[in-house]
Amino acid sequence: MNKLFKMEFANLKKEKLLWIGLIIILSLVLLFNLLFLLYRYVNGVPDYALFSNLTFNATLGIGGITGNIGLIMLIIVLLHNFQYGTIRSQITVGYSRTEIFFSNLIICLALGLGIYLISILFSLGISILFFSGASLVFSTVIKSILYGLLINALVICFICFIAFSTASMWVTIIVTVAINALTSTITAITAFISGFSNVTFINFLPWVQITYIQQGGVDVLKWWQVVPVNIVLSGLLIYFTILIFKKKDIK
Amino acid sequence: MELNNIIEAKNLVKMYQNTYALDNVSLNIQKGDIYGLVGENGAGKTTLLRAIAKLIFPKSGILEVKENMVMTSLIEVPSLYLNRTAYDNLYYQSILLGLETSEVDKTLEMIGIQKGSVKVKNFSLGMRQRLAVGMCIMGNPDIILFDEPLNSVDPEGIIDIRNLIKKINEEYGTTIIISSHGLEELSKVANRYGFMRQGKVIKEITKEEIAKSCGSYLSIKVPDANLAAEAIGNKFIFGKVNDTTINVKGDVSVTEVVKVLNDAGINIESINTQTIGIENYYIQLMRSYHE
Repeated sequence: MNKLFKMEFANLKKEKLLWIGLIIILSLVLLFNLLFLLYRYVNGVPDYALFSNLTFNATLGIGGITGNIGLIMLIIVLLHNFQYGTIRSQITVGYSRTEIFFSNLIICLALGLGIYLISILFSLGISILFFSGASLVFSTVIKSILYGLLINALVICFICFIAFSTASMWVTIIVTVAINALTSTITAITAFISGFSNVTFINFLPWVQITYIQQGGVDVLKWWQVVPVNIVLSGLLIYFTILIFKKKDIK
Repeated sequence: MELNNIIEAKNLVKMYQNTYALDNVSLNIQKGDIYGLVGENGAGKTTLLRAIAKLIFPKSGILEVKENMVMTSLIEVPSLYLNRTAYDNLYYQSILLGLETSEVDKTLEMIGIQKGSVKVKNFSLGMRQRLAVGMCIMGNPDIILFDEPLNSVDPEGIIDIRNLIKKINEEYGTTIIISSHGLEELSKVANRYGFMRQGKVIKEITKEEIAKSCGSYLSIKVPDANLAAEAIGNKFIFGKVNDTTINVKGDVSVTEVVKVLNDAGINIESINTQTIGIENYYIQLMRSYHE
């Protein structure tokens, strides 16, 4: 599997799309923060603390946009071997399908979670630099980041499941975007009905949890429900992906 | 698995919807074979190669490839990263195969592609094919599966690839399975053949057996083929083609046949030596199977 990793990383290093995507994501984070800075100067709002808090939450909010860009990047990275037919070489030269799946999954996890962490830390850094970060509650920030990692890992497992089951870039993109749209709607409805109050079933809906975290509702989540649910779901997705991919005819 | 065999297939069945792509296919391929898979479109050649390459799973039957064999393949379209250079593609393949980077330059030289910054998407089809062949032969694998490797390749490239196939087979004992419609070209490299039709292997034959059953014959045009046949009698093996033409089979002397006919007072209008090549063999085999 080491050779597969080495090959994929050597290939990804030359993937312009990846670097362009990363630059777009970081530019969006920077732009969003600078807009707040500008707003502060124009309106002369003196409460720095208020803005630092707003910025952090809002930056998590634009995770919806940056996250989608990141997801599409991941899908393209995941499926480029299917698209070019190079997965056939990997299979024929003797790598097992399980090895191929795990090498792709691990690369996507590293890439996806890496992008997530970079954009969050970048945003946090700007927030602290310009707005002192005074009203940031340390435990909330850490909780948000950890939940974010866990849920993003599950989302990546889900994308891998669709990608390896269908081997189709468009199906994977459409399904992923559709799920995002659906869950955003569910969240909006849930929030409208209950506000960000403690609604038990949210702890069992990872996609809804993302939106909650993005909108600053992290404190309503119960870790003893969220963590096991996300781990079990990720495990099940990995299991079924391997099961399907091992029996799949490759065109 | 028998000692000399490198691939064994027994009663392989693969269906797409309700059609048999492979219908009880059994064959053995020995180490060092250059095995030509021949058959019409849809005969099951590509499906068989895909099954050997572990890309598809037969519905039933047994397919065994000797353990620890390094196998590479070029099936239908070249599997290449189009937005990378030829060097990059070969470099990635070298990583997959655990080869030294020096193999990349060696292979580029062998396939006649220059190291440069041109991306594969800007290559002609023939160049892509050459590169894909290079990816298969790099590092001298144990087994290579080629599906129409000469597609879109220019005449010079065809000769180069043919020589590469021969060289790798002779020097390293690489087993090569080639599916091709270019029978004459195939006959220049293959030592065994499997003829396929409607998902079945209808005939397995060696190069020597084909040569024996083909060989050459004399085609003689005369005013009356019946009279000529009478004169030749049981001196030669012959076949009447039509009322004015007979074919004398086997390795016979033209002078001898002419003498016999002249002695019988038969006027010979023309006499030609004809060779039955693999193409004629294929046509005859397919016709006989159809009948």
